[in-house]
Amino acid sequence: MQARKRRHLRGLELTAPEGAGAGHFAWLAAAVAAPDGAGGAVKPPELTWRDYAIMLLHIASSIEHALMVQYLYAAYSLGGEQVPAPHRAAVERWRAEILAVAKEEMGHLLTVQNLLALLGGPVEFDREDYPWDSVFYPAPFTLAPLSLDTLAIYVYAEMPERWADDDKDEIVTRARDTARRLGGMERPRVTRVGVIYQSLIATIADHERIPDAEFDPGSVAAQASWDEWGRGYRAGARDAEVKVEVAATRDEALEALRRIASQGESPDALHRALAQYSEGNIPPAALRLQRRVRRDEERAQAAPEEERYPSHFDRFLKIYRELDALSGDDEWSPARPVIVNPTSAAQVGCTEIADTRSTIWANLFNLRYRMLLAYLTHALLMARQGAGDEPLNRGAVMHRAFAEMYNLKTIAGILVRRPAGGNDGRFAGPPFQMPYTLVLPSMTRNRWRLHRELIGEAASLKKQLRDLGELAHDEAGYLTAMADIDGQALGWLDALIDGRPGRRAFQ
Amino acid sequence: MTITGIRLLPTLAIARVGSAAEPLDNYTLTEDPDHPLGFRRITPAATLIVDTATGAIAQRRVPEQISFKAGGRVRPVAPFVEAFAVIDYRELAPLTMKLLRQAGAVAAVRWRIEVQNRKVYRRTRDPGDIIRADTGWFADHGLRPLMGHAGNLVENATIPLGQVQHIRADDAFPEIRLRFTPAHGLIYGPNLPERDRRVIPDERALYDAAKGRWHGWDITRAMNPDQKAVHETAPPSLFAIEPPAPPWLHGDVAVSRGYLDDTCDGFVELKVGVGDREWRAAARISSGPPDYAPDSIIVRTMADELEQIVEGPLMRDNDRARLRDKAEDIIRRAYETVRLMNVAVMNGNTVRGRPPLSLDTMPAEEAFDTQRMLRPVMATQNVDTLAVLALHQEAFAALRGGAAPWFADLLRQPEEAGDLTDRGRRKMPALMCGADGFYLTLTRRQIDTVRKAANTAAFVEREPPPAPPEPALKPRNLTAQLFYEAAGNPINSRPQMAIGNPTPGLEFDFRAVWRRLFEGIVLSEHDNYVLEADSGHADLKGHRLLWADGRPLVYPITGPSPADPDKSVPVAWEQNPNGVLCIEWSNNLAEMLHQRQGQIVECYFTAEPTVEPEAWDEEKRGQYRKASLRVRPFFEPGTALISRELAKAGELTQGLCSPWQNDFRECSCYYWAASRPDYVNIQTTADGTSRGDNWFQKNRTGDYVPDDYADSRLINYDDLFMEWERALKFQIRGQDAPD
Repeated sequence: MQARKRRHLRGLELTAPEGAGAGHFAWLAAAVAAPDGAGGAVKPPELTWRDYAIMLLHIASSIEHALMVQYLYAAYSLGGEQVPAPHRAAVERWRAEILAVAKEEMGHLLTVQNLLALLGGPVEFDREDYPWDSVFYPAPFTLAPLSLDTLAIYVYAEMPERWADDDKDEIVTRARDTARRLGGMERPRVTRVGVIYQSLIATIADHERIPDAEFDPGSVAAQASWDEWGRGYRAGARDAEVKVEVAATRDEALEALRRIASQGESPDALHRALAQYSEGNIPPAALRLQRRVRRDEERAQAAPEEERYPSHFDRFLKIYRELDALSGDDEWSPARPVIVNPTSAAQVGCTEIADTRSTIWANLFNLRYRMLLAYLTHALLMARQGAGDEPLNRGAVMHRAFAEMYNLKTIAGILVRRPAGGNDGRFAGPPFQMPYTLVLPSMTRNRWRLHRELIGEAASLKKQLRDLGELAHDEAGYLTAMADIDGQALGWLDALIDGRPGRRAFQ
Repeated sequence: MTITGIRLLPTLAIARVGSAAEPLDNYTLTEDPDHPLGFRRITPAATLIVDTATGAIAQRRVPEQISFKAGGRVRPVAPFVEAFAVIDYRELAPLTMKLLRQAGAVAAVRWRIEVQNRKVYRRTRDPGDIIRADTGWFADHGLRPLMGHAGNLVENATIPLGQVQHIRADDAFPEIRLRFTPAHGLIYGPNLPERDRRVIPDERALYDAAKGRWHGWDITRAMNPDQKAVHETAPPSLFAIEPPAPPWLHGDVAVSRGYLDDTCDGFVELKVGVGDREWRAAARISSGPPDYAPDSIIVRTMADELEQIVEGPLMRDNDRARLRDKAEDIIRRAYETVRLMNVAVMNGNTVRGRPPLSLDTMPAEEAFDTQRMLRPVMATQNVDTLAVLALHQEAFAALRGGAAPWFADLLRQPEEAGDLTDRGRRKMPALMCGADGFYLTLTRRQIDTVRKAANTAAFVEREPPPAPPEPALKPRNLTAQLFYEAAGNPINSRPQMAIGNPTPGLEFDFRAVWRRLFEGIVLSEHDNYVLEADSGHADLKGHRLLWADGRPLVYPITGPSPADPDKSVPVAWEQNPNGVLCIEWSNNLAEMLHQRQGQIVECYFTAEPTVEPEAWDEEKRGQYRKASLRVRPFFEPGTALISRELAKAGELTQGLCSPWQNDFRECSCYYWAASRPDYVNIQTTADGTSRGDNWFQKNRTGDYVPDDYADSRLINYDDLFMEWERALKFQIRGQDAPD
């Protein structure tokens, strides 16, 4: 974590309560377990409470972002011709499950952006590059192929408080061993991202810390909604339940936090944790949250098992057990042998992609990743700046962001089939390296110029790949298709930058 | 080498009307290698020029470019049907006189063409309204008109339904073939002085209003409410009515003007006598309106329907290249549809202050049907055509790059057509109408193709190059026979360019083909009501078929709770008090048809005759009326000819509009934008969004005029009736093609 943020966190209780497990969304358990009912939060000097909440939301955002990318990498690694035919259906299912978790993390990320809007904070999509060891995660954030070892970390990280199945010890041990092997810092006890949420809850729930006036209900119009961003991902309709929560009030903010957390936490743990609030010391909003949690717990318990939507922990544990069972005595891997923490250039703790062509593909991946983040940021800024007279164009920017997600998936698919260039015969992988900045120019026209320049640079990388030759059929076909789409996007951007209408949309 | 049979190919040839003297040249569609996501290239192909005086092919040439009009008139699509010999049961070879002579003394090569236009009969049920043309057997090479006769025409009057010509074989073109040229696309009407003479001049006032009931036909007067409920077409009326029109905006009053068109469908038959043997073969022909977006293909076509029937609802082909290519093709067709649709309008957005309920869209249709408030389908800010198009194209690019699209689970399943919640309505294909009048689904086979392409992508190390052409023509390969590319036939004469979600359709109302699938009963083409039953099953008449061969045929309609949009509640209304939907036959019966043709299956019908749709309730199984019915084979034995038992001449087009021009006026673009376009001449504006013309706009201002039946800025009914050829513009690369 950046030192400029870390210096403000010294007051946080960075360890979990005894028995709370390692669930990174065990935030509520941690929040209510603190003796003073305030989650151990101590306001750092130099910050107001609102400021502090915004900073915590930024940290939460960076962690959600990092988790999402880590899971995407694991999902993209799955597959390959080495997967025996009888196991392919299972591997494909795991891939869908992990992608579902990643999509749900994207929903969390957007919800955090909404809470930032509610409190008047800036849009934030920044995060640190891999590898990244954080006190809020049981192992260094790592881009690694899926295996029982990495799955053990995911299970451990999402583990609810009172899970006590027979294989718990085995999984926890495997997770800790893996964390050590990955070079993680020594942890006497695991600290979780839950601590961030713990402090957030305590801060946001407390009307003396953040008065009602600090919550801007007018920001709702500028917040991301499931309607716009959810892409139809609802339980029962698609394979993921993407929660993009809109919040207009303090209670809705708390509810939003609870809902995104519930995807990673077992309902049972929530219920028990709430009971630990000390009498007479509960802010009214926290009390109302407690009652809502109890009510929902009762409903959930009454619902048939098949209607319960799986949490991230449920998903990872199921995959772990299935992979464990299928592994047996056979030597097979569900994932391609992709490198760990790939980068397009040498970097400490990373594996450089040395193959020339693969490196350019990695550059192209990073560039499209930057484009995605730029479109995402731009779309949210357009909403916040009240570009209501151009609603359809904001929609167009959003669609570009979705389109870049397709590009990332496709280039990732190409990279995991390409040589990394080392002597061990391993394959490359999508590096997900962050751009030097995510700050968009303040003038609208310059934002469009940035998008246009990034497309121009993509064209340059595509040309390098073509000039090198030896493109596989799918690589060549994809580059041509991407060029075609980029050409259309350039026409769109030219019209916006030059302000000249009348271009034919299709040449 | 022995001739063991003969065939006519393709077994389904589609003509398209037009009054230009020269038929449309041959063309095909190819991908632009530099712009794979752009419009398909219209690529001129070898065209056969027939000397109609002699019947011989005078020339074979590849035109420099394709013109869809000549002198302001539409060039008709006039397909050839070729004869093939089955050799030793295993091979198909072009049938030539030389081949016949080798087989023995040739007694005769004779043709017979029988076509009908039953559109008026479909409404009135008066046999005098069936227009029939039958050439009888002939062998000569003269141009032979198809003169339509009907009992209710004025005495000695005929309606030309096109013409046929037995092509004279010679050394250069030895194959035995026939050409069908459709009629001009004229409208005929009643012999009444008060008729609109601009539409029906004297020479076309051929319907005898004293004999037939078509002029002034009003189903509400001709039938009681129950009869109307079961005999009415879906959508209702679909014919030229006395103004004001359309009926659904004017109190559901539909009084017919008595118009007929000159389209038809039927059979070409060939009889060849060799020695003492006689071989026969048949093909179906039809005529319909032009395809006005000839470089775009709609997302669900007749070819998809037929492929599902032949190959089954599951994609069993494991060849990665074919899987990927087919999935790519489906996605390409999806964005070709989007590209010609004003998505923001079709989404149910408010258009410059005009309430969406006043515009004809799928969400408006849903609101009318279910008597609920109109709700836009997608977030209203996300639906500019160019933005939606780009996203679809990105999905295509991803598949081409070997990535598994994320949207396999986003495709609507057939059983979900009645899911009117947002999560249901946002599934793909969105904003369009299916054959059951609810949200469109792809065929089960298309859905399975996308799913399988997605699920196998991760295990491929390298995507293979494009798949080679489909397997060769063989007697047992019905798909190849159905889709056979006869010499000289442009792609728009094939099922690949005909719409496959008939509501009721443009080339065919393919729903008609399912009516007699079960021996002994005749179903409504659009739901499960038993219209007729033979003596063995007379007790089933008036009942509804609820379940067949292990599968319920009706499904609940659900929508969002007004109090909680995330909660799904039953949706019912006055005409559908049980809130059920009989999903389209094509997907409903696909599995049964694939597995059980010719076999007897178990069926359950409602306990009592009922006009009202009813739900299937497993717990009431014992109370339902059970019957064992045989499933008719879909094709004539050993051939790819759709069975005559399933659809007689004229029946594949009988549910279409009369005249077809009505469909162009009344169908909005939630049906078939890639055939009947909506949003054309699109430009990118300075604010990054799109602007363009409504295809129906008289003046091309670039300022889209929302569809409105009464807006004089748009082409209206009479404009179409009088001068459709001039008024409607072909769209090439999304732009008006020069006339």
